[in-house]
Amino acid sequence: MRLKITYIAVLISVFGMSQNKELLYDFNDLPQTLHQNPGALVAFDKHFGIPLLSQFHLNVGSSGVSAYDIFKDDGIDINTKIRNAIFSLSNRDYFTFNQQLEIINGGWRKDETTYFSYGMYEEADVIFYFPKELAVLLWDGNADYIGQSFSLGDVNLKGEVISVLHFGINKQLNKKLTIGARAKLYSSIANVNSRNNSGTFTTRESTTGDNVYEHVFQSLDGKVQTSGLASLLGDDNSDFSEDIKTLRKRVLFGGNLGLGFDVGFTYQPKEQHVITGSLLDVGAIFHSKDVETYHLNGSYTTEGLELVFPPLLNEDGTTPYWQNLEDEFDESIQIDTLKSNYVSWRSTKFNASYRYNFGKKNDEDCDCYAGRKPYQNGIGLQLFSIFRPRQPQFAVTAFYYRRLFDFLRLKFTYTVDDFSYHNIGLGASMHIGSFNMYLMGNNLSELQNISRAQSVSLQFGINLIFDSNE
Amino acid sequence: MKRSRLVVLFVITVGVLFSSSCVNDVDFDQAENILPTPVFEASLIFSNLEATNFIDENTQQEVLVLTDTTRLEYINSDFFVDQLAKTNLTFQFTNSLDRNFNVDFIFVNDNDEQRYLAQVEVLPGLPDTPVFVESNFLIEEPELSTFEEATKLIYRITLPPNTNPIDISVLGQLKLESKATFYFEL
Repeated sequence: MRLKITYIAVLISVFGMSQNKELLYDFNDLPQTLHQNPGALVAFDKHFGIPLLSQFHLNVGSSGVSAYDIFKDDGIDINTKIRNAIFSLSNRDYFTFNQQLEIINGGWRKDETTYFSYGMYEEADVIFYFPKELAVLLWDGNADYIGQSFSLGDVNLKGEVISVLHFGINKQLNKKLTIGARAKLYSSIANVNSRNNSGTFTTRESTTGDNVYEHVFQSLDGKVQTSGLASLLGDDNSDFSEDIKTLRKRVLFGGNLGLGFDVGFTYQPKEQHVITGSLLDVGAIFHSKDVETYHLNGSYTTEGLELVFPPLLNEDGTTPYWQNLEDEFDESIQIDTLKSNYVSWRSTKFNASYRYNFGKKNDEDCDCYAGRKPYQNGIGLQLFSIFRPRQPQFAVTAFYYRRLFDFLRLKFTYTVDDFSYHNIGLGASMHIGSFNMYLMGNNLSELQNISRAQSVSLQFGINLIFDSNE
Repeated sequence: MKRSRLVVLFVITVGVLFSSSCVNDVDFDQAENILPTPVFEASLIFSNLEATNFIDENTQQEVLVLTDTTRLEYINSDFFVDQLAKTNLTFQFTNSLDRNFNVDFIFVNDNDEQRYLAQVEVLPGLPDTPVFVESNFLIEEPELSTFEEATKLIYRITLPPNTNPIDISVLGQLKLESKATFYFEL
């Protein structure tokens, strides 16, 4: 049963994600927008997120297959459906998972043009490319694939859990241009990655003619780098609370440290036209504590066991054929455990947008900043990209922003990405006095049957936002 | 007053929207039926024996029985015991010796108790016209459980009494090739 679970995990259920926050980007009513663009327009004087509640973000995605494809109640044998899914996916398909939780988030205005923000959050991020050839080998076996090679090169994954301490400066240079930057200190709680693997496994008809088949392990070269896992997995696991203590220490910067930054800008050539851009998480984590790298390499060919019938044979004198095979294999294909340091780069994200504002409200009840009355509507386009191990992922979003009854800000999005062409999202932010609560989700068209969705993204949070002009 | 009512309306609307999401037309109980059934083929043993192999060094006479043994550690491994649904053993002989043989493949446990026996009769051939014999042994339950207790394979060649025994100058070979097909249910 455990094996079965492992199988399923490898084959279908390892979800991954994209980190696109198309609803939150350029949503200037919320302080969390500064995490998407440190150069966003800041329309308030002070903010404080309710600790642990200011932002929860979850995004799960699968580029080629949905739970519905597998678990559809259509009378077709589930094993047939899984097999079909395996063959319909390619090694460019992936599963992703991203989750963030803000622990602290705050900020204050230093002067008319400068806003400081700070905070700390936890993030888990996993991307797992579909190892197509290995999946076929594991699901079907080699019997129908005599003479065909299975490549280890399909194995490509990255997973990390980190905590991030950050400080950002937002500066309005003039009426047209606002820029911002955020410095980040990363603490890695756990990290695992495997890429640039190569080598093949082939079963083919024997080239020497000595036996039916030969099994060829050709130039295997695979590497899995880990940090923060060896100590957790290596201990006898009898004391779980010790593990928790270790993890807590790492959250508070006792883990492997790294540095990074975000930069961004907002450019308003005319009052109604807004152009923004940002580059997030340019940085790396340096792994030196609790590192363990597993390196598989070597080549080996076997035709099986050759029994030679030695002339001198007695009860104790049998040839250790099996032992010899094992020894040869172990000598030829080695799995080394290394303690070498390594660097993991964060997945850098790029955002850009254009927005056109229209429809000013003409009544007295205005909560705008610095005497500027806010526009009631905004319409525009956003581009998102994230740099991933195999290739960058892209998403394009069209959006409509609307202020309603002063206390309600809505944003509707339509996004096209690897996961779907019909992803509609809705973000709503409620502002009552200083109290703010927001809830955003995408793939609403799939909400009636969430199992059809190949990606789901959700953000939720509560802030206190102060504006002296209100 | 008006605002508070709107707030309540908004909260209810959003709440309903996000909580009404559900999962239709799917049956996650199907997960119970997931059963990967990979089929793996693997080379087993092979050998190539000539006339000298069948001659006793001391007596220079044909031997009665020739035996060699190897361990096969995986048959008794947890993985095989738990996941193997059936297996098929294929033995292929190419005989160009002018001699018939009775071959036993005896699978035994660590105490040398027989767990499975596969027998093949090999007819005499000639160097120019070798005889090809293929035998398949499909092992399923209830035999399979006993088979899975085996840790060793004894390859035993018996030379039945014959008026035309092998002498050292005879040309030709007795060649064995073999493979196993493992049907797993994981």
